Amino acid sequence: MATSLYPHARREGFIIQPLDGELILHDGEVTHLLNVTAASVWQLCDGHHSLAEISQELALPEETIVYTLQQLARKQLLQKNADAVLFSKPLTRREFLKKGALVAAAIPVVKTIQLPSPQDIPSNGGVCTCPDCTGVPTTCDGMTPCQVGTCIDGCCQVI
Amino acid sequence: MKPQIWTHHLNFSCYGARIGTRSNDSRALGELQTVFPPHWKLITSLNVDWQYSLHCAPPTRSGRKPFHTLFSNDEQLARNKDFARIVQAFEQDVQLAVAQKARAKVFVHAGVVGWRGRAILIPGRSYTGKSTLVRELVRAGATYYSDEYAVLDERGRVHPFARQLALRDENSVNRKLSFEELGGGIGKHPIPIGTILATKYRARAKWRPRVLTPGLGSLELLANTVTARSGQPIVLEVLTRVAKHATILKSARGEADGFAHQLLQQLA
Repeated sequence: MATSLYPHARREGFIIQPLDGELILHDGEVTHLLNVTAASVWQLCDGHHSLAEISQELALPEETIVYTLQQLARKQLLQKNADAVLFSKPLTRREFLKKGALVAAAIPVVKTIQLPSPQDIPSNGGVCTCPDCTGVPTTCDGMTPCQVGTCIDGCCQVI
Repeated sequence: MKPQIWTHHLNFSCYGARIGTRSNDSRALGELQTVFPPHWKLITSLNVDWQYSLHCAPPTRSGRKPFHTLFSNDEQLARNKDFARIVQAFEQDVQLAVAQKARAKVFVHAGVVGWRGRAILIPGRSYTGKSTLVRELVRAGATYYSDEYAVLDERGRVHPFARQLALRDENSVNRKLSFEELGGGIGKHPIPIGTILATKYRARAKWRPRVLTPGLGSLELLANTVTARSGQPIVLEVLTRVAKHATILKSARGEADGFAHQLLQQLA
């Protein structure tokens, strides 16, 4: 185990919003949500705490810390220098659970969503406003069939 | 087009967003006015955040219908011989413009009803059954607030954005329901949010909600927020405040009518 590792979280460029132990990291295009376990680990990733110290401070097994760091690194939430050590032998979620590293309700989770642009949020249920669109109000959002033509770039067009 | 072509102007504000409309035809401008967003107020200032320009071409000598052209700021938004299509494109776009330019408000794509002094907020994209559920909740006794946007203020309250409810029939054609047809009361004042439903219609689905954490609830809201990418601190502050104080339930649901009664009973 890479106990000498001193992980360092990437903080620049984020709006950071703590929320009842969880942590939201918002960078303009994506938002990451760290659950309580992942947030606790991330906050101790200051370059001064070793992996062993984080484990000790949070009273969590080192496997849990490593698994959390792997998840954070995958989402590019750590400075890159930790990657080589962390991924020399990556743990899958299944292996992590098998190893018994799980303390009740302490599974670290990092959930990420791509933020929508205003155009991704159509009003009126995605009525096509394509300048060349013809016919009755038409929907073209990839879920319902385009009624008068073919869906091109989100617009229903007759070709 | 040359600025002098715009002989008629009608500017308004809505939740602090200042929207300008102008045209070479006063009657056409009047048609646009019929679909201004809820709670608009006329302003005299020509200094606006968003400008719509509508050019109506005169009838051709051959008697053919001319094209009308609508611009959103400098971009052509719609060009059509059918004026109703132009109005429809304007209505859709102007709501989005208000949502982007509103001051001290965060617009989340969601249906909203009031129930016992608190709001039920149903965020979601189109085709998740929001409007149908809103209609059924109102029929079951809730107060109508919005079927399109939840307008959230800095205190985490939701304001009414009550436009005519837009429902799609089986052919996905939009139909508007007047307030009289809808029945029920219309919300007039901001109220705190009691419940957030992260739900989608699925045939024969059973409502088996799990309670989400405030963090997961914030993500559900962010994924439907018009200004999510704006980087404005108010967005996260407001959404997390709302999520912290509301109960957030996630589950698929079946038919809206039965579900609406069940939900309101549970929240009583």
